[in-house]
Amino acid sequence: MTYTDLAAEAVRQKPVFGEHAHILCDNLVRIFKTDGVEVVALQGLDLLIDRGELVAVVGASGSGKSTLLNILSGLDVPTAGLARVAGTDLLTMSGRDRLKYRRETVGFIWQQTARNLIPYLSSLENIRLPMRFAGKRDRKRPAELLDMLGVAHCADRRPAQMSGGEQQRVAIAVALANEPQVILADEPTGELDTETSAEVFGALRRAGSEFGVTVVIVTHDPQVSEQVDRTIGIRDGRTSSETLRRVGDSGTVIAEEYAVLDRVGRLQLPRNFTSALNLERRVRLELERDHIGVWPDRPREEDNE
Amino acid sequence: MSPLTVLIRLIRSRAAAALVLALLILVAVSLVSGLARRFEGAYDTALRAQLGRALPGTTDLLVSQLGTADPTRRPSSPEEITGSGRTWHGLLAPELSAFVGEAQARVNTLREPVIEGLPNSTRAADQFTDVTWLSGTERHITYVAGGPPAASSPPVKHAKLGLVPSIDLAVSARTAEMMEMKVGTVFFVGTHNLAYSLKISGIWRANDPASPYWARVKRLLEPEIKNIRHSQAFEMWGEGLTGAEGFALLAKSSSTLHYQWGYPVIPAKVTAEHAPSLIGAVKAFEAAVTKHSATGDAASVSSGITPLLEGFLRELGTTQTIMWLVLAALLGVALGVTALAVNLFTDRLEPGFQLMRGRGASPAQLLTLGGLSVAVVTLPPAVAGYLIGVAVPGRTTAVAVAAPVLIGVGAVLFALFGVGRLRPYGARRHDLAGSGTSAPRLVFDGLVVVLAVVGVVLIRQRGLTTDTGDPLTIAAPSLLTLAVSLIVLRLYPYPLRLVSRLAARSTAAVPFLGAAGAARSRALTALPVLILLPATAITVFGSSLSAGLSQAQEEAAWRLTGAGARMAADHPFSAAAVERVRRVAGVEQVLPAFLDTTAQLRDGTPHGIPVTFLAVDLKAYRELVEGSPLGLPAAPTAVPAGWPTPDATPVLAHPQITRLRPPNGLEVRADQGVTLPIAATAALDGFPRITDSPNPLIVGPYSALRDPKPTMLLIRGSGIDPAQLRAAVAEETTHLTALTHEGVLASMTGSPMSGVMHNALLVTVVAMAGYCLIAVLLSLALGSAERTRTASLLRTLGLSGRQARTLTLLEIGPIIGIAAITGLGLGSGLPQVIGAGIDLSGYAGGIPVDHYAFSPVLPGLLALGITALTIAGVSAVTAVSGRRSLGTVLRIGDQE
Ligand SMILES: Nc1ncnc2c1ncn2[C@@H]1O[C@H](COP(=O)(O)OP(=O)(O)O)[C@@H](O)[C@H]1O
Ligand SMILES: [Mg+2]
Repeated sequence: MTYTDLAAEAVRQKPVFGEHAHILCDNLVRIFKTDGVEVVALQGLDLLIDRGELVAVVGASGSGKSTLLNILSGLDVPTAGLARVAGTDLLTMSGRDRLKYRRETVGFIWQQTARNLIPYLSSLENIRLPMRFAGKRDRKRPAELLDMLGVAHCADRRPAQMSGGEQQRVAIAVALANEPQVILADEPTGELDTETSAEVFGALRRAGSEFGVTVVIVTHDPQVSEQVDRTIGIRDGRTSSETLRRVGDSGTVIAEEYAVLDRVGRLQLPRNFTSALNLERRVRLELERDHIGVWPDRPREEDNE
Repeated sequence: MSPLTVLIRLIRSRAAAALVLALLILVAVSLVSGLARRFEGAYDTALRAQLGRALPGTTDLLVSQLGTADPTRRPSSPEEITGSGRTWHGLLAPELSAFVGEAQARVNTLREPVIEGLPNSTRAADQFTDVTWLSGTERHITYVAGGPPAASSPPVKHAKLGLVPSIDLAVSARTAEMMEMKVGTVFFVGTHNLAYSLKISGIWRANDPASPYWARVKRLLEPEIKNIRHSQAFEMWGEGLTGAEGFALLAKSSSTLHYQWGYPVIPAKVTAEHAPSLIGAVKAFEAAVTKHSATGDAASVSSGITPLLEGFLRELGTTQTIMWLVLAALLGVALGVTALAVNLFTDRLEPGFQLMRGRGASPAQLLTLGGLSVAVVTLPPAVAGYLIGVAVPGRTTAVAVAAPVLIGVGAVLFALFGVGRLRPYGARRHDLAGSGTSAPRLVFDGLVVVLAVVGVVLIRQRGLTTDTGDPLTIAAPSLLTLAVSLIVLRLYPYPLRLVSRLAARSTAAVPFLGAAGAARSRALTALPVLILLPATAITVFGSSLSAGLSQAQEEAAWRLTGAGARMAADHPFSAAAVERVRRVAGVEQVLPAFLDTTAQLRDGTPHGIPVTFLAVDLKAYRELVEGSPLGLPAAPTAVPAGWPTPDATPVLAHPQITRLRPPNGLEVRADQGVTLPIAATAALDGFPRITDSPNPLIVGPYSALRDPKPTMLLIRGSGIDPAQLRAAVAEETTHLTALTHEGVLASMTGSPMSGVMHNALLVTVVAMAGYCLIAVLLSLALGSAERTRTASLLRTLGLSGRQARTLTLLEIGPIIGIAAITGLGLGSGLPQVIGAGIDLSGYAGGIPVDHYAFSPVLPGLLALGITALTIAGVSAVTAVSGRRSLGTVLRIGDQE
């Protein structure tokens, strides 16, 4: 055995991080440079989502949610790190691959209802447009999609003639036009009232289960985040927490919040935890048999200048 | 859904912008195409007018041949002479023969003296009678007595000359009257060793004496009378027609005969385009004729057409230069406005295009869609504009065809450029402060500035109106305005940023927001600057050029006339004639003067130099032209110390003469026995051109002459009819000149070229002013969606309608103001910078136009118009947006 073989063996031993994930982000960084000022929108974000999962992404405004989604949809390129969707590496792909990726692999929906649809085309025409870009010709699919999403009556209407909810459902149809594997929605219900947003969310969920599509929804809406299996929290450009929901024995939904441990072992403590115990600068850790204890640091005289 | 549907929907969604774009293209194309055609047509008209106005016969191609010694080798019958005529015609280059009419052939003797036999020989000191055979006479004359020259007459015996041949001659009624000939009169002409007799066979009258047929043979109609200098005697020179037999008889005798073939150039067919090749063809014809006649009697070609064409081409050069300047500027500004309109059209397509890009449209697909949509909008108006241009009378040239292509292709390119910049995801953030300078932009800007400077230097050194007008000098004025625009674009944010920083300190919100908005450098502000600045500059430049030309023509007319009117003649005007001139309508004052254009200046040696001598009372002359732009020098009062003849009369003289330092003094000898010792030390400068003579001018006092009789009258007055002046003195003078200032001015301004020039400048000024206003409106329309949204947002925060208006004004006012003011300044400066290179003297009687009038009227009006339009536009835009409900505006605004 040569040294190289040994090294290869060593790597092979553990499965590669997120090997089987449908969406994978590893240490993703996106830095915006404007006028000499650098804004770090994503600072080492890790994310794993399996095929067919319905996931919500939440976080404060400016935490980097849209940046993440733009990268995943192939509209933006990360500065560093790894991002892979359905086996496509988003960092190394060529312009032509990117176009193919946008045409065949992903569909997306934006928050602003009007921004999702071309104002001078009818719903049907809006759905046919991406198909035409991809060179596809399926006469029945647009109408079927509208039907499935409950907006068949809007087929010949222009965006201005539809309600916000209808527009968003048509937008979902547009996103589904080319049978994508992943749907990305950036606050799709942000402009809608509770009732309508439930309709839209229902449509998204149906689309996911019907076509086996992986759906990622960025949202502020607790109604939405409470209805998904997994909610990923983002803080300052990093995944900070995950909430898993399962149906308990009594039939009620039990939500358990987890903190995310990244690959190098970093952990973000929830802010309410740290402020409750007045944790600052450093903490004392103690390894127990089945958990790790975290204690506030006892300030010493020489540290307190 | 076909791609066509998407295209049509897309265009319909921007119907208003598409309409604006289409209209602008229509106007721009028809303007440039039409103007180019109009120019060409005007050149042709000008050339034809010049050819038509030339004295009849002077533009003919004249082949002359002296038939000398050998009578057997020269044409001796009408058939032979027309045969030679055809031979010459065959030597014409095809480009020339197309414009040449049928030859008029002529054979004549050369000034044969009358030996005896005419009764009036006592009255005229010398008499001459030539015998002429002229082709086509039968169609142009009618006999009033006798008949055509007979077949042959027997020889006549003369006491001293012996038996001499006799030739029949038919003369005009006027010749018969003046030379006292009757049908049957026989007289002898020639020299004593070669004489012949002439017998009058008939007397005729020309059917149309004014016909060009007679232009070169005027002596056939009326004998020429010439005064013999310094004597009361005169000579008389007549000419008569003979027939084929007479011609044969002449040809067989060994006297020298003059053969001529005149080919008229038919102006109706000539165009300006032909002029250069015609000059070449005439030269080639001359060479061919010389070569062809190398073995026999030498033949030569002469024609007034070459100098006429050369003069025309010189004038054309200037006009074409101005035309190129005008068209280049117009095309540039039209392209700028087109870009602005395309921008307006594609402006709000952007969100849709971005969405399409996000949904998987490839750049090529979007470029096709964007390019096609603009092409569909621009193609019909470009074609229509071209057709309108073609309807303008004139001639189509490359420019007229290139304009629609350039503007159409330009529009599509602008669209492609706009679409090509789109990123799939809103990477372009309008709210961010101006991005720094890109290196290619800097290089481009630097290149434009350098080229402009080089161009201007070249113009100043070599002049613009050289024959080889190269593209750089032609483009220099446009480049210069572009360079200034680019510099302004680069610099203008700095003072505004300063203002906005100052405004930030105050508590008032509107000035702060306005200054901040104005200081943001955005692509959209670039185009209005690039259009408004050159357009205002060219408007002002064009108008000051036009005003300068008018003023120069006015001054030149004064300098060429020398007074309100001027009369001059070979013989003195009698007191009665002067009195009659005084009574002509419009004449206010008459100043007599003495002029001799062939005077002599002697410096003690018997050989003098030819000079022009004018004796006039300078003080009275100055009073006579008071109020005109003429500045006359004062008369010198004393003989300078050291002049060899202290009692000489001090005079003003051409610098060529004042340089002389003759040891024995100077003396002027002129008509009427004038002998005047002069002291010529004061140089004559800026004196009116009172004569065409090339001889240097000397101006002395009228009072220094002994008993002078005026040969020149300087007249004060206006609205004088030159014909009446002529009529007042007609009976007694020959070679009469009678000019009025108004007449000379009218001939300058009335020249077709001058008219073209003024029209071109006028059209440019109007078009540019129009484009200024359009640029203002478009720049208002361009950002309107975004501005409306911002204003609506601010109104939810408590901004009043009036504040919103002020805000918009503050945002776009500065850039428009800066562009307009810089443009006005540049336009006023341009004549100083490049005016020296434009030679307009061709329009001002050859007098150089060296200063350009700056009239503040037009720039003032333009500035006022731009200001008024900006304010009105801003009010209109804010009023419209104010009426929309805030909710709608904000929701629609989210598209951005
Ligand atoms: N195109 C951009 N240029 C510069 N900064 C940007 C750009 N897009 C986002 N940012 C910055 O990145 C950070 C994350 O933004 P975003 O992903 O839009 O947040 P979220 O969607 O979670 O509200 C913010 O600070 C934002 O200002
Ligand atoms: Mg966001």
